[in-house]
Amino acid sequence: MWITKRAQPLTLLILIALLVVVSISALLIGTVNIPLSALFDASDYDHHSARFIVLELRLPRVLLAGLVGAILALGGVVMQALFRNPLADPSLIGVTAGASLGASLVIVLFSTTGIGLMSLTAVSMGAFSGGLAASYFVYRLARRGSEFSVSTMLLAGIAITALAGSLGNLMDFFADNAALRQISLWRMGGLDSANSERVTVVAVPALLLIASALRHRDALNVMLLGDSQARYLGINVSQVRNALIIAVAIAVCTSVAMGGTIAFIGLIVPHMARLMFGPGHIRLIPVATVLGALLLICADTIARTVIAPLELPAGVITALLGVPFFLYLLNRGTSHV
Amino acid sequence: MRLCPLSAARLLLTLQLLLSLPNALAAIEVRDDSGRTVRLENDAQRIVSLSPHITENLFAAGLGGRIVATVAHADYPKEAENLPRIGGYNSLNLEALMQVQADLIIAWGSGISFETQTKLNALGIPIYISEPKTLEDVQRNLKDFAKLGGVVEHDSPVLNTFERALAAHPRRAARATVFYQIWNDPIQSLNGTHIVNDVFSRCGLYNVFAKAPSVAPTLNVESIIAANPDLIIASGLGNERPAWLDRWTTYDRIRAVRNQALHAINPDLLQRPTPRILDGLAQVCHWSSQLHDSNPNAHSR
Repeated sequence: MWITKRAQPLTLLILIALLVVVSISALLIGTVNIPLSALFDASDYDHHSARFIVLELRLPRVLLAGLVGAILALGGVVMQALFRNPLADPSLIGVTAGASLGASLVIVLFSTTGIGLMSLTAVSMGAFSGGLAASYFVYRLARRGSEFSVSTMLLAGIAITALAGSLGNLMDFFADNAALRQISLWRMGGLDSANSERVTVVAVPALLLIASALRHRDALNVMLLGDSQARYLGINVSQVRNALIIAVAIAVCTSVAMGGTIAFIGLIVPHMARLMFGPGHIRLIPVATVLGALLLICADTIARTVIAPLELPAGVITALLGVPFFLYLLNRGTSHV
Repeated sequence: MRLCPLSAARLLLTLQLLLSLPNALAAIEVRDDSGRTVRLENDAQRIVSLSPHITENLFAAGLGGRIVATVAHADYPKEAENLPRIGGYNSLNLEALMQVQADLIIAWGSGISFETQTKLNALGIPIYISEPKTLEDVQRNLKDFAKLGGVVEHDSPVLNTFERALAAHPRRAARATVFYQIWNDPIQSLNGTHIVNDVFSRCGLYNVFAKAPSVAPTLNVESIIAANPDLIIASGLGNERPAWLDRWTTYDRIRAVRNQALHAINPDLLQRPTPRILDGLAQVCHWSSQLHDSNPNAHSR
């Protein structure tokens, strides 16, 4: 950690302020140039449409990006602590591959484009259930009675990811022209479909994840020492682990179903937070949450404006923005795991 | 005068050569879309088609009966569905291809990798590369196919229809702009390199995303509001009107919404370089003139 303990609360406040500033700027920039006067002056000719663009198009998108970024980063923090493995990230338990397979299955078997409940399409339901099923499988494989093996879970995650991936490719093979196009476009995904309903749907599991991570923050610290050490210190290890894995799986499944797959944030942001603030979860949890949201909002805003009117995939920008900063932190020479 | 046996033999040889000459001249030569010359000694009897649009055009040229194999998704006309398949959108079974003993392969330039093309060349079977970018290219493909198959090309009804349609709809200066939406989530369009633009320019329309750097650019709602097209044409899956087309009605700032010019079309009528694109042309030109008739001042250019 290279921010002294005394400076840490202030740094966190600065990060939060930065998040607010970036979010507001993200509302004000876009393909359509909206002057502030049009936004606040009701007599302005463009007042109605300016408000519409900012409140109905940009606001849900910024919120969704922030929530998805926060979920992925915090999911990474929890996974890395539970598995005591610096390479763990939320996709490791098979969520992403399972969600992708679930979406393909729905598209090929039901060939549906219809709108389901609350603007959640049948396809995003399929993605959600697929991701949840895959992570459940991985979790069951790693658990024998009350014993739980971290290395088995990592390997089972890799195996299930590979299996879901190849089944997905098999679905591609049997898909007809239309379904194939739908599958590949779903995988590209994006945050443009954001609306207030989707934001609500993602916000609930995001808040649950933050709450359960904060509730178990001390247990997460102790579990870094190993399960038996944690047990000696009076922590109900399997209960904590169950609660956290379920919270991460549900939150990440929802975010993948609503915003597509965005790599990198779940792996790198926790390390960024740790490099700056040290391994204590009381600080790590809020910092990673804010950093994840900040990074994805920045990346998504750049993705939709840099070659406007066209859009780039947000994942490209997250890596371009995040990796140099991450390498800079790494290069400061402090060991972080 | 007496001929020596040697010169008699020579004379015979010359005669023979002279006789065989018309045969050699009868070899068929056409230039394909990659600029290479395709040369056949005899009419193609066993044709392999490596793309759905090629299969469709072979049927249109009257050569459907000579297709011995095609690829997945070749679904038009109905008869094409029963043809044997030797590959999909990204794979080609070379063993199966050799087994059908084709005398002509017709491949889609963009649908075939450099490696596959090298392998195909090694088979020694003549290959015609089809890559139509304009309606004239489609017409020329049809003529070439007819020629390669040795079927008479004058008086072909499909070519006559083509001739008439192209004469009736010459390319002209754009009077209105169009946004051609091929998908909803993410919003996607096609840029100026695609054949749909030839249809648009023949109907006096300009594609608002013609200058986009990628063939199928990804966009967002705001970019459509900023582009403000006079007309939105959506192609979803098949004939049905995609539910997402009417999502635009919320955005009454867009001219196309105020013009009530939100139309759906079957993508096969606009994106497949086959005679069916003439139906797409007629439909798009109808919408374009409707737009002009109902509101002559609606146009942005």
